[in-house]
Amino acid sequence: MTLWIFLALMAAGAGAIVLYALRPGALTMPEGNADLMVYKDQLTALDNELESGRIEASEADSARIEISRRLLAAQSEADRNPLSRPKAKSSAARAVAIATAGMLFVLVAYIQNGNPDLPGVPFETRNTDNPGEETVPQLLARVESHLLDTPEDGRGWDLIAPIYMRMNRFADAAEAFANAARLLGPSGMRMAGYGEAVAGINAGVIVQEARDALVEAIELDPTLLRPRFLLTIALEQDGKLAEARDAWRGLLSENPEEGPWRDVLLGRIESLEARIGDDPRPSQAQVEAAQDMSPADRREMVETMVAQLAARLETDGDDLEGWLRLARSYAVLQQFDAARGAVEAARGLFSDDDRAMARLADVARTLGLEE
Amino acid sequence: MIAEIGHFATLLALAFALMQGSLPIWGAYKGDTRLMESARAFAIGQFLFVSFAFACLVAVYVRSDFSVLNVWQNSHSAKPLIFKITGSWGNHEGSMLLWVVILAFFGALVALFGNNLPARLRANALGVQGWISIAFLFFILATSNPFARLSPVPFDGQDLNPILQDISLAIHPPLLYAGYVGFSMAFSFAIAALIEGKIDAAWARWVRPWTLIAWMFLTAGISMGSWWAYYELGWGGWWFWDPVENASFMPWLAGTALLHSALVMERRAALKVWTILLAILTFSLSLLGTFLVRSGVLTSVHAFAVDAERGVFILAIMAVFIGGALALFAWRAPLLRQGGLFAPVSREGALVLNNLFLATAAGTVLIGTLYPLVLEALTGEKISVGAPFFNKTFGPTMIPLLMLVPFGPMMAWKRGDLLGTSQRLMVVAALALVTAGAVYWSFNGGPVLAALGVGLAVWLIGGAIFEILWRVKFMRAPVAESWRRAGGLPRSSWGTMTAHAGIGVVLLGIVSATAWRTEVITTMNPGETLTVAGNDITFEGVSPRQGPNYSEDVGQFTVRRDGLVVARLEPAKRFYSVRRQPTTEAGIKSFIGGDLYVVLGDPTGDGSYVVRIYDNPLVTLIWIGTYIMVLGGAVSLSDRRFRIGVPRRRRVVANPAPAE
Repeated sequence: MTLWIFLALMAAGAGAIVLYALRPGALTMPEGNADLMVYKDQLTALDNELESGRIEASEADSARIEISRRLLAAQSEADRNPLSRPKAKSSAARAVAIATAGMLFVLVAYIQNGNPDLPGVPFETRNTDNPGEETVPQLLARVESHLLDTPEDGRGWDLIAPIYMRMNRFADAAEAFANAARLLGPSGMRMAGYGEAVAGINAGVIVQEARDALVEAIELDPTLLRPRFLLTIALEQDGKLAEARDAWRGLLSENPEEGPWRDVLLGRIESLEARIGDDPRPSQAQVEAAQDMSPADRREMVETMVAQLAARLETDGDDLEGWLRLARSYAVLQQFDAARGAVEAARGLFSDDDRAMARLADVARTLGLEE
Repeated sequence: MIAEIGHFATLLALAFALMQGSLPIWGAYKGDTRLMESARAFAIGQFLFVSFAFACLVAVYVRSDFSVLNVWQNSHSAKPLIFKITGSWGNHEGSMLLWVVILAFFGALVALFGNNLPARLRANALGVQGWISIAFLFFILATSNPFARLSPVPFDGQDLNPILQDISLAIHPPLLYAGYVGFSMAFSFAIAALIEGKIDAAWARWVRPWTLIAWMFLTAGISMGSWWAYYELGWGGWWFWDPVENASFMPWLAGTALLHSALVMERRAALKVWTILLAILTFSLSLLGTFLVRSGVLTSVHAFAVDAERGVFILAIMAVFIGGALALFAWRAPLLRQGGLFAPVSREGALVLNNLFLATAAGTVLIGTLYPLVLEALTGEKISVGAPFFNKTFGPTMIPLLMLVPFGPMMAWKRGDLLGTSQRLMVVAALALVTAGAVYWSFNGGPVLAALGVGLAVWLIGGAIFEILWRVKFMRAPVAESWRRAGGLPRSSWGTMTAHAGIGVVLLGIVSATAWRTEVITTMNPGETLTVAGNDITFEGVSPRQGPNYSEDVGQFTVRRDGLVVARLEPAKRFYSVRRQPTTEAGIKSFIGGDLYVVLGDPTGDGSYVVRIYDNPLVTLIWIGTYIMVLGGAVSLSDRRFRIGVPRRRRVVANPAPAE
């Protein structure tokens, strides 16, 4: 509410300025006489300079001739175009309309983009809503100084490690997790935390050291989801997109209940599908290998991959993306009959799915399989 | 709540900009004085609200309110207060807002003090300023809102990039922006003149001081940036032809040209069309500079594509303003009446020559900066256009320009006397050649180019001083007479002399720091002593130290000359824990003869450290020189009177110069 009072005051002030700007009787300098004034100023300045001896009389004369010439030109220009002194024809109603329109624009834009219901949260006021409780910085300082004195207290490291993690102090977090694991023995949580912290140090890249820790965490506690999540991201980072997608699907089938997890997983799968679906994209390693191949070998490699895809669809035909990819691949290999065959086979399988049929028709048209 | 107030204030500023950009121009077109006059109150209102918005941004930074996305991304609760404040413009969003604050401030100045401007010109110029504000405020609100919020609120921020946690880099962007934005005034006046199809006599009276102010800020800003690079990056260099540096240097070159052509226009009403074009080009280069640095194009062409929304917006703004202005110029410039005539050999002629060289130099830098970007965007090939390109192209353009500098102020307006001027300057030329010879001889045949460079510097400084001596008839008239004349010299003459001498000082610094620099890279054990350029440098050891948001290893070095301790240097390696980023703090001691510059490198493992020691003779003159140039600008600016160049008449008075 206080916010709205402030905003209303500001809008009122702004509106007042607009009304003032469009006030009646605003005087203006006579138009066009400005040139004459400048030249007259110059003549005065010249006289002053001559008087104080800064320029020679002959120089002053020639300057005066030049200025006078310009003055005359400006004067005759002014005479030729006599000033029709522009009139102020604004009315008060127009000023009010402009001010109202301006403030309405601001209000609408603010309601659309602003966050009036989010309170400001200055650092000092953090946690004051729970008086008596320590603020996080106070807690952190206490544990830190405690650990400085007794660095062999594993529980202290256990306590502080996740706090460092939340503050994005990954190196400190990794050190704390490692200390806790050393002093209290490795646990699923500690190893998972260590792995994640190491990934954080490397700007999110899940390096080998992090992977080892995450694998160990799963071995210690198979119920942990977070390390499996991170290892699947590691698969994505390696470019093993299909494997990653299958791993996401595995996680999804094990956690059927609704929740934020589920949306994240579905989003991941969808984006992977899109990346895989564009074309039968070979893995990074295959691409690198293909660069050294002869064109014949390369074609053979592509044909093998396409054949594998065709074989898989033969047994498991319930994959529209797969069929579309197969048709595209055949078209790339110039095997248009085979491409047509793939589209027809898919039409047989998806005949009662309108969207699928529409997409098939689309692809067939873009690939030039139909007239 | 403060963030929301700031957001609202930004929107109010946009509303004022929209009114300022439309109503006054419509009024000027229709002859409605009330609408024309409204520009002034709108400009002031816009400034009030946009500066209030910026104050809100600083407030949320100071209070470390991490519910604001921008604060979370660029600040940390443990950061020293001064860097909490400066951090508010040490990032894309905040710096764009600062840009508009400065723009609105200049607009408000015109509104408040532009009483002697013709009403139509003032209305149109403020209207064009309004357009620029609209574009930038809309860009800020649509793609880079500094008041975007975060919920839930993160516990602590991600800290500011440590290399930006430095006081001179905190001052650098506002200075630079004041320069860029100052050129927007010349731009707005140019567009206003094109809209009206005529240039009033008051036009030049207004444009030159604005250009001068912008030029002073830009000069100081570039100098500050170069100084920062010198002491913070730890390479001992002061200019790297880095695209970020070039981005600010191009508008400076064009702005310097504009300054000189505006001079011709003010004094002699000539070069009108060229000055208008130059005003457009200078501001275009300022826009290019702002966007090159701020869009992330320079770090990588691909960063541009990543944030496609911003990239497209930026391209659109540049296309509209630069393309629109040039189209308007092509359409309307033929309407402008040409001004005064002059002979090729004259003060005007010398200033045209100055413009040609400066424009060529700006073009050279533009090609060298943009070519790699265009090539990478088109072919994906990465090339680097570095110092060798610029040394081969920029240098040869500047040398003849610098050689001509002393001639310019000695020439008469309208008709000059080249032979007479050359004869008068013989004294200075002799002095320069003798100095060059003495330098060559005293360094036992040291680098010829360096000796000639010193000679050129003496030529510039001597030429500037000689001009004043000649004007006051030193040695040709009694001392009292000379004294009286010196008192009567317009301040703009003193300003010219100071600025031109400043270039000489800069050149002296550049030449000596380049040609006679000593560089030693070695490993040192604690207790070891090394002699570099007459300094006995003892490495005492390294000790750890804790700062507010960093920890550092500080190396202790004692410098002795002839057994006497002359300096203790403490170069350090800092580590900022939140960003996990190291920085290098050089240890620098400035002596009169030059800088001793020590950088602590990595430990080698056996107790010794890699140490880099540079002796940079006279390097400080580079920055002192630029500030002398700025001082010259200030002196010239304080001469507020509108001057006219006194034309030299032909001998035959009966046959006066053709009418204009």
